[in-house]
Amino acid sequence: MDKIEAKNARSKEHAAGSAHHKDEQGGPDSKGRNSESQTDSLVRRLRAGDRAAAAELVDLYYWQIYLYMRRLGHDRQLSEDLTQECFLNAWYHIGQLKHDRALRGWLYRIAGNVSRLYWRKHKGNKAVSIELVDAPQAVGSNAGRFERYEQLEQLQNAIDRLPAKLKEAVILHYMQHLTIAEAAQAAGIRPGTFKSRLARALRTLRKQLP
Amino acid sequence: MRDEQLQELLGRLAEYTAEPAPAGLAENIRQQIPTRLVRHRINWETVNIIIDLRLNRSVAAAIIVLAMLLWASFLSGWYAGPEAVYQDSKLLLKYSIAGEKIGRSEVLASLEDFYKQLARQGKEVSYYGPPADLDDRNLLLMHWKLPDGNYRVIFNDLSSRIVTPAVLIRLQAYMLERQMGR
Repeated sequence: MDKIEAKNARSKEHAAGSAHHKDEQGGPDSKGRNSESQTDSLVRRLRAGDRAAAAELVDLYYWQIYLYMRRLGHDRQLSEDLTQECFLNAWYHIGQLKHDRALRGWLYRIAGNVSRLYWRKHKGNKAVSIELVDAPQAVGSNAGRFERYEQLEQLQNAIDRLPAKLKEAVILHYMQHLTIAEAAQAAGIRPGTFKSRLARALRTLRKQLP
Repeated sequence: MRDEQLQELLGRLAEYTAEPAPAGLAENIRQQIPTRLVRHRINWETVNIIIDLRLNRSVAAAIIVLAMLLWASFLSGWYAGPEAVYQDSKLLLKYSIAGEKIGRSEVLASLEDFYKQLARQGKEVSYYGPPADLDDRNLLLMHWKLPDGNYRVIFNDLSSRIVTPAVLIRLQAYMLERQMGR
């Protein structure tokens, strides 16, 4: 599994480099830019009750959390509401933020709980698949692009079909780009357990894709 | 499909599903940052409610005191000591904010929460809700049974008393008469 991490880190670097505009909005790829000392400082300020730090936390993570909600299968409006709820919970549980540099995992843990609670309360509701934002405009005008689009759509459908825990693992690590430690914290399990869950998810996806 | 391909594809999928966040979302969240980010040491739901309501500190303090007294009186029938504190908190509530009715609505909301809490615990409790006549001090807002068989009643003017069952019946009869328009 360490190999998986190393390879994924390479792909993340590529993603970060090609999407600098996302950083301005606090996107999923901006996490690499936050140095540990900055995170430490932010955690310290949050624990001290600094409202400016809270605003900073919003700027850094609101888009990530919104996307996480979307990828977990909530529609746009609901994702917006749940993102707000996540931050509200974060303010109220700021005292539980104890370990330095655990900020992202902690916030995602809250987000995951908010999402799970929603699904538990609304069992009849179906998950909504997030749309691919760069869909080809005309079929046949760019065959390679269309093929790639098809492939991604198949992958997304396969992810949607995964059991909730496996889906969460894939989203946290490969799509939200959390490290194994952060993602394990977000899922509320040990890193080793998270790795095996991730391996199981990849195995299932491989079987489902041509 | 090989592992490398799958992981590359997952990375690409992350890019393709990175839809922009709705405009104004960050601002909405920022506006909800509570004035006091680190909570009061007392980790009670009441405090959460008060932070939710975004009240000023004096009002928040008054409501916390009120809620504490209500809980304490419920748990042990304890009342005589904190009477003055209760009255002070009531006055504070009335005069520390611009309009008396605003403070009243917050107290009513707290009472309603308290009522729900008691009802959930299966206690003998009644909540009458805000009466139409705000000036009649004898109308009841709420009552609940104490372990000794008497009842704690909260009146329309937000004062509180312990009454016997007979007195409670008279108070209820009075309310009924008022409702019938007599």
